[in-house]
Amino acid sequence: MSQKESSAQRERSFYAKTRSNVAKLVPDKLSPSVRTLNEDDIEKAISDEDANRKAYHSLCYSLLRIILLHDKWRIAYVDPSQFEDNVFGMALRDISSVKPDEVPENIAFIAQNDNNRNGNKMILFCFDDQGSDLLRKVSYEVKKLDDGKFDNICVMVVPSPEIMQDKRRVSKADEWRRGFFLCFPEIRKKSEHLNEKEYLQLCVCTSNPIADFEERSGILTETVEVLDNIAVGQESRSHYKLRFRTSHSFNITPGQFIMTATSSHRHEEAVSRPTSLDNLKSSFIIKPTSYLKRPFGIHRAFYPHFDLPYLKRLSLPPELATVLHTVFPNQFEIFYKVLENGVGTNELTKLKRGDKVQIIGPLGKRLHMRELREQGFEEIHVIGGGVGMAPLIFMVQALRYYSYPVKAFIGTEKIGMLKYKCSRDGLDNCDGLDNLDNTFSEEPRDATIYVDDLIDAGVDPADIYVSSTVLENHDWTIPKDNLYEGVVTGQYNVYLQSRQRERRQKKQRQKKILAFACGPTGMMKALTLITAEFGIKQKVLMEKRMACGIGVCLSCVCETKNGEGGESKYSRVCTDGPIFDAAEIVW
Amino acid sequence: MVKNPLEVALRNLRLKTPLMTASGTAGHLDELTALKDYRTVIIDALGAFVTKGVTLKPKRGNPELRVVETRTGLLNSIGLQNSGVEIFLKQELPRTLQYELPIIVNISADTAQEFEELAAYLIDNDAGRIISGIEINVSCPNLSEGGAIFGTNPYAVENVVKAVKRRVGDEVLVITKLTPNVTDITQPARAAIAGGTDVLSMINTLRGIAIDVDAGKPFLGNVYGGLSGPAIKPVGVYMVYECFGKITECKNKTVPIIGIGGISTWRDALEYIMAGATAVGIGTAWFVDPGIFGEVKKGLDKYLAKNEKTIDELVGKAHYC
Ligand SMILES: Cc1cc2nc3c(=O)[nH]c(=O)nc-3n(C[C@H](O)[C@H](O)[C@H](O)COP(=O)(O)OP(=O)(O)OC[C@H]3O[C@@H](n4cnc5c(N)ncnc54)[C@H](O)[C@@H]3O)c2cc1C
Ligand SMILES: Cc1cc2nc3c(=O)[nH]c(=O)nc-3n(C[C@H](O)[C@H](O)[C@H](O)COP(=O)(O)O)c2cc1C
Ligand code: FES
Repeated sequence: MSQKESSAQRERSFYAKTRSNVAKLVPDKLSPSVRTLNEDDIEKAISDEDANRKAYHSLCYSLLRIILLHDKWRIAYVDPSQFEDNVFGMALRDISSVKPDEVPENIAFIAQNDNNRNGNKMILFCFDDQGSDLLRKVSYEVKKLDDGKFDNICVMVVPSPEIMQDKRRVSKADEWRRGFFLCFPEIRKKSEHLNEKEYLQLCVCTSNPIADFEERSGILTETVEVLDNIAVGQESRSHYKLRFRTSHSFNITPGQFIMTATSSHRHEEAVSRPTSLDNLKSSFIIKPTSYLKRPFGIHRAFYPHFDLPYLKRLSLPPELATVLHTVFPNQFEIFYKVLENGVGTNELTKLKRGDKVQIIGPLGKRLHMRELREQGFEEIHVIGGGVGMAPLIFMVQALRYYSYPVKAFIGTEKIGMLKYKCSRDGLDNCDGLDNLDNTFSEEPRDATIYVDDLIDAGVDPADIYVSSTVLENHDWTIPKDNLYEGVVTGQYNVYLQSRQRERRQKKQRQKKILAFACGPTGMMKALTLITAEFGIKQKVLMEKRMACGIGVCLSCVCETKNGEGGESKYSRVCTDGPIFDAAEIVW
Repeated sequence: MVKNPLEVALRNLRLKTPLMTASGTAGHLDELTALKDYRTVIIDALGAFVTKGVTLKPKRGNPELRVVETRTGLLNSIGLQNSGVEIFLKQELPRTLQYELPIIVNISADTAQEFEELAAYLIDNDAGRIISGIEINVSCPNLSEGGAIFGTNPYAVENVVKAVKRRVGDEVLVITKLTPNVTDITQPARAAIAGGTDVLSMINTLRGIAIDVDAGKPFLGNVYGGLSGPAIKPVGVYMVYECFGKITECKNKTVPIIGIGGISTWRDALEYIMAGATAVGIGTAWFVDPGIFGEVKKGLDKYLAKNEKTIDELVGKAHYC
């Protein structure tokens, strides 16, 4: 074959491909005519970059409009220079309630909600295709406009999940203050889901679901820097909170966990140092040292530039929230219990600020928050027994980002176990990474673990419940009525009963509720009876002894009901879980 | 062309590095693709991949608790949980093909006859074209029946190896994995050679028990477990040294040895090689650090470059000083 022929062939296949791509984008009625386009038409259409860009903006706008209207938000402003009028249902005429000179530069359109009493009032949308500097420029403008009131949020629309993934990385995110990302395929899917009829006038159905690009981000081995490691609890030093910083983006979802080395020298040194008497003394005679890494759930994650006061006020439109993405977190806390004879957890307590430890993660199945809404859940309950509450705090953080109403039930043996001296302002923000040392020198203040964390995450104090076998005096930030003497399952049962009474009196419909539970096996099992009685779907976070954490050794099994022929089988907590449907477990 | 100093051969099977996974510690390879840097780990550092143990029928595995950490070691009693050879061939093995790595299938059974059936099943279903070797686990100390009995009894070892070899022929390598739970390792080793094994691998885990003094009962659901990790390394090195030193076929490398047990650094790997191993398997250490294969390879590379040696030249070096 001569070279000329092959290039002509390439060209033909290019036009054919373009034609079929375009046909996929336009509504059914139009697509036959697209297929008959001749090469000149295609040439002309694709060579006009500006018109193409604007048409793409118009399509995004029209799809986002479906989502926003569903959330009862209205379009308050559109910048005509960024859109192509009269395509994809785009009409520029009727929109102008915000004055153009009040709008920061580069913003393409604005959505507004007048009924939002305490949360954000405006969502500013921009498109990322105007140069690499846009993140920084828009961030600066929006921050200026907002002036610390946290009234507005900014959303950047990007064409593909891959580009979004890249921008969400902490390095890029440094330029993106308090903003969210959206990617086109997800907008498309969501609007199709919400209003198929209107969607069909704009696009043809998406045949292939959005590739789950996050899944591909992979398990990393990383050496992280310890930021602090402080004891929690009044009397005994039996619980610790360890905070660390990762250098790379760490894309971890609630329920997932990490495995961490428990001391800072690498295992290589630990096991292969030439044997001298001193080494023998330090590593063998006195105390055993840990060899394997230990699994821990993420207790809290910190997102660069998402200050806690901002998070508290955040109140996103629910449907939009399920396709919004934040930057990746780069600071994490684990909250751990020091076991009396625990080799690894005792070693962990020795870690100090500045130490480096190796971790592996994220491990475990990903739970996508947006799926919960697709499954129709209207409210989420988290129920934690003891240290089991720790990973549920991260869960609540994420649920809040996705605008879910949350109620939290904390079970603790003794109230004193929750109290600690916070060595740094719990409201510190990640904007101030450089100021870390300043915040450190602040006077420690009294703090209550879990309760303060939940409030920081934006949960209403009235939605936080605490139970303990002994109710001591404590300066509570939550209503007195939310305290209970006894175990957490008891409190949850009482709560559900009174809620049911109230609902029946008012003849209200029962909400579709999902409960996440984590704690001792007995507690999680007891909860299954309660949730079954009240028609609540329950998921549990399981915990088993692990060796590898990546699904290859089969150490971490728990018995589940989904085996061959209705029999039970052993499932791996580390890769089939740790989140399971409570009904799936053989208790 | 300069020879790759890391390249070794197990009979006619060439390995680009002497590093292999240890059976049961790296799943069926496809799990590893979840690791961000799996390509560098799998494609670069490994010479061959050994699957987890496969049995004729699906196996449920042992009750909880299945692992407990001991000083620099891991005591496990997984009980060979696997989905059986049929699903293994249909669903699990095909996924390993894309890596272009020699695959060795580890097999377990309760009787010599079952071993033979299992080998026959693999060969009859054309697995011979995909896999490079079959590793006979005559040493699993976890099973309540079979397992240890084969490995500790030279006649049983010879029978099993013969039965498998009869079915496999020369199509793929037959490797016999020995148990260290014997007084004289050369006896089962010689028996395996008499049965026709092409390669020996050693060691499997050492039998052990750990007791929870607070509860006053053994930790493991199965009571007994197999000990692995750094704690068992000297035992493994000793057994490789014995076989290489005392068995002619091993010394002249007609029956090469794969050294396994407690390797977690390149120095550990080299210990095995100098004791007489041609290749080495790494298991438990990989749980501690998935980067281990890359690190060991790097260490060996450096050492070989510095000393201007190849792995081949170092095999059994400790015997010639
Ligand atoms: C997915 C997952 C998430 C987890 N998240 C958290 C968390 O957020 N916070 C937290 O404090 N812990 C968490 N754990 C439990 C934690 O991993 C163990 O407590 C820790 O590994 C014990 O290590 P060690 O070296 O101190 O104990 P070891 O030295 O291994 O064991 C010492 C003693 O503790 C007992 N023991 C060991 N492991 C457990 C266990 N898992 N449960 C009960 N007793 C045990 C042993 O029987 C032994 O008597 C999680 C576990 C999993 C699997
Ligand atoms: C969790 C686990 C599972 C194992 N499964 C098998 C198996 O299925 N078949 C087998 O021959 N050996 C099995 N082994 C033994 C290892 O392959 C290896 O011989 C032993 O662990 C010593 O090596 P190491 O110290 O590097 O782990 C297993 C070991 C462990 C820790
Ligand atoms: S810890 Fe190895 S399979 Fe779960």
